[in-house]
Formats: sequence, structure tokens, C-alpha cells
Amino acid sequence: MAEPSLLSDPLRFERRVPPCAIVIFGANGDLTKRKLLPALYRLAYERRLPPAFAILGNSRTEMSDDDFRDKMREAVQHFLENSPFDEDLWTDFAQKLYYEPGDINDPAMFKRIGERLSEIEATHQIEGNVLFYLSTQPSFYAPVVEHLGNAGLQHGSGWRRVVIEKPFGHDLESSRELDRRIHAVLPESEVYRIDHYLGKETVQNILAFRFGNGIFEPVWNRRYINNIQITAAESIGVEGRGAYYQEAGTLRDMIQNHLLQVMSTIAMEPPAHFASNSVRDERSKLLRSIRIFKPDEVADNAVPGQYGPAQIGGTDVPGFRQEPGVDPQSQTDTYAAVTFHVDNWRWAGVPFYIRSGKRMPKRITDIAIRFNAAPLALFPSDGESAASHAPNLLIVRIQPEEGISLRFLSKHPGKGMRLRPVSMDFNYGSSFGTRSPTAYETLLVDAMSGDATLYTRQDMVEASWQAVQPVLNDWQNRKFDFPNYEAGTWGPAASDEMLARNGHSWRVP
Amino acid sequence: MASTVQPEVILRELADLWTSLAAPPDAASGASSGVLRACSMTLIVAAASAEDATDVTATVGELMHEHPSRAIILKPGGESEALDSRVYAQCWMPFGGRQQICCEQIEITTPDAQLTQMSRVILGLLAPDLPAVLWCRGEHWFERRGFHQLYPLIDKIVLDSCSFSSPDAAFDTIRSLRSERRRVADLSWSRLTMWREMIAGTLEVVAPGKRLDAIRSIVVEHYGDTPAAQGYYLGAWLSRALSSATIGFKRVPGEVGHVASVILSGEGVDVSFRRLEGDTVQVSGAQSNIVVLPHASDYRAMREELTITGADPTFEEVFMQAEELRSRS
Repeated sequence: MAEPSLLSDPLRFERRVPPCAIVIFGANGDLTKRKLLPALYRLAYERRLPPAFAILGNSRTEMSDDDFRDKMREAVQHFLENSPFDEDLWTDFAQKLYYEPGDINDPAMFKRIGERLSEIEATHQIEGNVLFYLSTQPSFYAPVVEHLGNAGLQHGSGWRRVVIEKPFGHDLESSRELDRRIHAVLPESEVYRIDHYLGKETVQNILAFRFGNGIFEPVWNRRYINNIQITAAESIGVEGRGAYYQEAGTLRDMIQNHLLQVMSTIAMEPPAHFASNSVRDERSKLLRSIRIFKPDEVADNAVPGQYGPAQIGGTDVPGFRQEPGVDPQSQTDTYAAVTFHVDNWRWAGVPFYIRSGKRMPKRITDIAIRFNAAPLALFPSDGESAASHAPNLLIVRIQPEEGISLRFLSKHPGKGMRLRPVSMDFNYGSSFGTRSPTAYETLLVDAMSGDATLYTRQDMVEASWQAVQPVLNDWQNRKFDFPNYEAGTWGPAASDEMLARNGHSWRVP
Repeated sequence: MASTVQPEVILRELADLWTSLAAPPDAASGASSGVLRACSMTLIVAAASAEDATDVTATVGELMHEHPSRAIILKPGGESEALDSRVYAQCWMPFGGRQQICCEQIEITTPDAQLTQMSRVILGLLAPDLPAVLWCRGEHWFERRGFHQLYPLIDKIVLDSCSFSSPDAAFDTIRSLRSERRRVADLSWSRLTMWREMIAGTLEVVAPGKRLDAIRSIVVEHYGDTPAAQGYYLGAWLSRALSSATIGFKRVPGEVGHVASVILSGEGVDVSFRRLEGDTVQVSGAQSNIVVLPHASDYRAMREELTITGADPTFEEVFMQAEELRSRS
């Protein structure tokens, strides 16, 4: 490893993003408007972008550079979170925005992209460094990368990287096929698979919490932990994405990627170093330790759900099958709950319950680590036994109100030893009064700087597909009596029964 | 005069303050709904003067956003004044937030004769189990009897060599504190961060890797008769990294205290960084451009220092080298 320069000062200097251009395919899409451009603008606001920087957008829509700039300005103003819009900064930032219309199936368009990049190189001195961001439909990932290869854009005088949004395939086989086609053009080290959950401050904080403190790791195992519950609930429905969602479903859309990555962060072994591949190796090892269900084990360990119509707060809410673009007989899961088992020494026997759903009572993502109860009930129950013997619970809240809380028992003031659960709270918002970077800000800086720690590697993708593939296979071959939960509830009764069989119950977040 | 300040009394006043802040909102006034309390350290600010104690409140308030603290402001008192205190809160509404975040501040008027008393009061006021940082804004504090009694309570002492009568006086104080194994920071060094980043970034382009060895001469131009501590720091940092280069200092007319320019030259390398006005710097060499650096305010420098609670090996090494440069010049 090269000696660090004596001119560097990592304690004080911001990590320097090298000169580069970002080419966004799908630049007229929702992701670009809602997430990518606001994140890049905010990075410019914080002076995190290099002076030699440019963005080249592409989509089928005919637009000039100026039209694109106007459109992006509207998007940034509308979607910028917790941040002011600075007119002067925008004027400067907008000069670095370019647009090239064209169909991504057209090889000639990639030649034009190459020509535009040469012009940008001459104007902005980006040193040949280009990040290609594929914000397109997943079916275009492989063709776009192949077109880049055919046009010779995978090589240049600087580095060339590709960022791909999930889903990485729609099952194990298709993910391997996608991987094969991408690797025919680019090596794994230049492929950045983005899972924005890993860029969230609170998910990164799990690593700090576990491996920066001495008191948690000793109890972070099967001897002290009874079960772990990961919940990602949305209060909204499919919001106009019915057609897409119908093909995906919750298991594919949330559990296979986001939530299994969160689980791997909670359960992985400590890495030897905080370096990209060390961390990813441990995540990958954990994912590969997940027990693969045999076909006859799926029904006991996985529950699909689909919401039906209901009235919430006086408003009629349609069921999934009544949503626009959705087949009235759809068998798509808008809810999924799975009990995963990790076959290693640390976690043998500890169930990991993961659930995610649409149209639940509220929007929340959290992780609940339930510890074993005290071995002896020393204090008498006062008739409210559930509360007075509640086991310790550590909650990691990912969104909203990011933070960590620990529930423990305390003596109720007054006579006698009556115990009450109390909660000790750490709240990100109040403990650090400043704004946290969004996941996309973090991940874009990482990709431009060549740090893949928070990106998903192909072996991790395959391991997580392997974990859910038996469930997908089983659900595909069965016909469920949907809808099986009402909008505004915590999911189907079968999900509660799945936990009840182990003597557990879902926590109400 | 006897002490009139007791930690218990101040803590009780703080508790009352929090109770009043947490009172239900007054619907008529449209006051905000509740507050969140936050504290990640004790920040003790020894103000340069009574006026400075007032002026610094705004900076401390700004710092609270990122480093929520129990702030204790030590206001120098006149000989006839008694040790006195008052408590108040600094509150702000985070952008897009729904609840105010509040931090507590305690102002202690500290006449010279009561300094010994003061350290005892502060001992009772430190936020438990959290780091304590002392920001000393006046050279005179270090000369006052009893002030040193605060040091054992403190994890980091931040001073500003610009506020000292001379770089010699500042370096002597830093050396003395370091010899007592105190962790010391100098805001003159923190104010250089943007300059250093700019120089490092430029050299990465014009003299990458081994090409740094081609640089044979470093000239730091300064305003005033002798370089300020900042000039020595910058020179020391550069000569530490550019081991083949000799270093020289040159006086130019202008506002005392600032670095005026840095000129690096050698075989095939010729680059200079020249302050034009305020925080605008002209970079000349392989690439020529104008860079507007963020203003190196007290807030910005202190905010940076508060993020570093542990050792700062770069500053440690640079300080020793800067002392050597000073003794040679």
C-alpha cells in the first residue's frame, strides 16, 4: 500500500472527490428528479464536488441543455430536503449540466455520448473520469453496459464506473445472467450496485454502535438475544406504480435487497479493518450463512399478504387489486414476512423475523433486538405481567426519527417493588443538531471517490437471492386467498401465527 | 469578597429553566410545541473581556447546532465585582423541524481574586461523563493565578495564537501546556485548513507523487515584521511534506497576522497561491484560477476543533517543526 502523502490530513480535510463527469441514463425519470439531482446540488452547496465536474443527462425526451437545466432546477427546488435553495449557486451548478437526447437501444446514441464527453472533457478538464449512472428500467441495465462497451466508453484516460440501481435481476438466475453480461464489459471493481438503505446514516451507525462500543458485542449473540425483528412499513399504497409493483412484489422489492442488507449489518462478524472489501466480506459471509429453505419449509417460515380496501380516518382506501394498472386477480405480495435462520455459532437458534408491507398503520423502518428475560422473576407480578416482566428491547430506528432506544425495567415510584418498562432514548435529530447527508449524497461521493464499502457486491446479491429463491418458487406455484389484510393494519393473521408457533409475537412499532 | 455562586444553585436554576421551556405552548402566542434537550460536551469559553463575553454568545449559539453543549462562559470581572452567575438557554428550530432544540448556557462573572473559587464551581457544573473543552479567547487568562486549576478538568484546550501579543508568547504557552500533557489546539492552525486543502489539491495535479521531490523552494510571504504563528505553521506543514525544499519567509506590506502568499518552485514546478483580498486567492502555475475560500471565522475554526476530540498527530508534528522554524528565524 502506498504511503499516505504528508500533505493529507484526514482529520480535517474533506475527502476529495476527483474531477469527473456523471452520465445519467434515465435523466428525465423520477429517481433523477427526486434523489440524484437534489443530492448532487446539495453536494455542490457543501463544496464537496470538485471544480472540474459535469453532469450529462440522457433520456428519450427531446430537450436542449437549457430545457434540461430548467427541468432540473424545478426538481431540485421541489425535492431538496431540509436545505435552502441558493440562486447563485444554482446558476453556477447549472452551467455544468448537459443533455443528450436519444434512445438507449440505439448504438449511434452512445457514439454521441462519447462526443459530448469529449467536449465536456475539453471544457471542464474532468481527466477522463466518468461515472455512468443507470437510472433506467432494470431490463436496460445489461444492454446499456453492452452499448457502452461497443462504443468503447468503458475505457478512457481516467476511470470508468457504472452505478446500477436495484433490482439486480428478478431472481437468482437472472441476477447471474445480468452479472455475466456486465462483467463482459467491466470488471467487478468498477460496478457499483446501489442499495440506498446502506447509505442511510442510521444503518451506518449500526456499525459504529456495534464495533465502536465495548459493551454491546459481548451480548450480541444467541446466549443473550432471543429474537430480532426487522420491520419496514409504508402507510401508502403503490401510488401509481401498480404495474411495476405487480411484477415485483414486496419480497423482491424490499426484503431481498434492503432488509437483508440491514440484517447482514446487524448480524455480521466484526471486520478486520474498516475497509471496503473487509466489510463486504463479512456481510457476504453472513448472507451466505442464512439457511436455505427446503420446499416443504417455506409455508412455516414465510407469509405473503395483499391489502384489501378499507376506510382509514374517514377516507376510503382502495385495495391493491383496485389500484390503477393492477390485475383484479393479482397474486402479488404487498406484504411479506419471513423467518430467517442464520446457521453460524453466533446466531444458531435465534430467529430473524423480517416483514415489510404497504398500507400499514404508519411509515416506519426499525430493528428490534429482543433480549432474553431475566432468568428468575424476582419481583412479584402486579397483574400486568406482560409489562412488568417485559424483556429488554433495543430498538434501532432507521426512519423516521432516526435513533436508538433501550427498554428496561424500572421501579415504579411508590410503595412496593412494582416494575414498569421505561425507554432510554438517543435521538439523532436532537443529539446532533445538524442536517445528516441523504443516502444518495453519501453514496454518490463514495462512488466518485472509488469507495465501494456501502455498495453491494455480486456475491452478496447472489447470496440474498439464494435466501429468498425458495420462497419465490413456492409462492409462484400457489394461489393465495388475497386480499388477506385490510389496509391500515399490521398485516395478515398468518404472519402473527408464524411467530406464535415459536412463542413470539410481533412488536407494535 | 466571598463566593456567591454555588453549583447546586446554578443546577437548580437550569432545572427550572428546562421546566419552563417544556411548559405547554401558549396557543395565543403561537409558541413552538416543546423542546428537545441535547448535550454532547461541556464547552467552557473564557472570554477576552466583558464585551467579548457578550459578543461570543452568538458564535457559541451557532456552534451548538452541530455540537450541542452545556456552555459555560467565563466573563472577566472587575476587582470590585463578585463571582456571579446567570443561566439561559440557546434554542433554535432545525430547518424543516417541528421541535426546538435547546442547549443551556451559564455565564459566570469571574473577578481575578475569585479564580480559585471558579474552578471549584465549574467542577460541579461539568456535564457528567462527557468531554469538556476550554476555549480560551484571551492571553491574559493563562497568566492569571488559579486558572491552571481548570486544566485537570479539561480534555482539550483551544487557544488562538492571533490573540497573543506575539507568536513567541503563544508558542511558549502551547509548549508549556503540552509539557503538562494537555491536549492543545490553536485556531490559527484550524484557519489554515482551507489553504492547506487548496494547496494539497493543487499539488496533487501539478506535482503528483514523487514529483513533489522536484520542489526545491518554499517561500511564505507574510504581512508584518515577523511571520505570525500561522505563517510558521504553514511553512512547517509544507516543509514536512516537501523534504527536498528549503524554506524562507518574506515580508510584504499588508494586514498583520495573515499569510499573504505561498510560492513553491523547483524543477518544472512553479506554483503560487496569492491572497488577493479577504478570502480570495489567486492560484498561478500549471492551472491558473481564482479561488474564493469560505471565511475563516472563529465559528468555522472552532467548529472544526470540536469535531476532533482525540489526538491530532498532524498538528503535533507541525507545531514542533514550527517552533524550530521560529527559533531559526
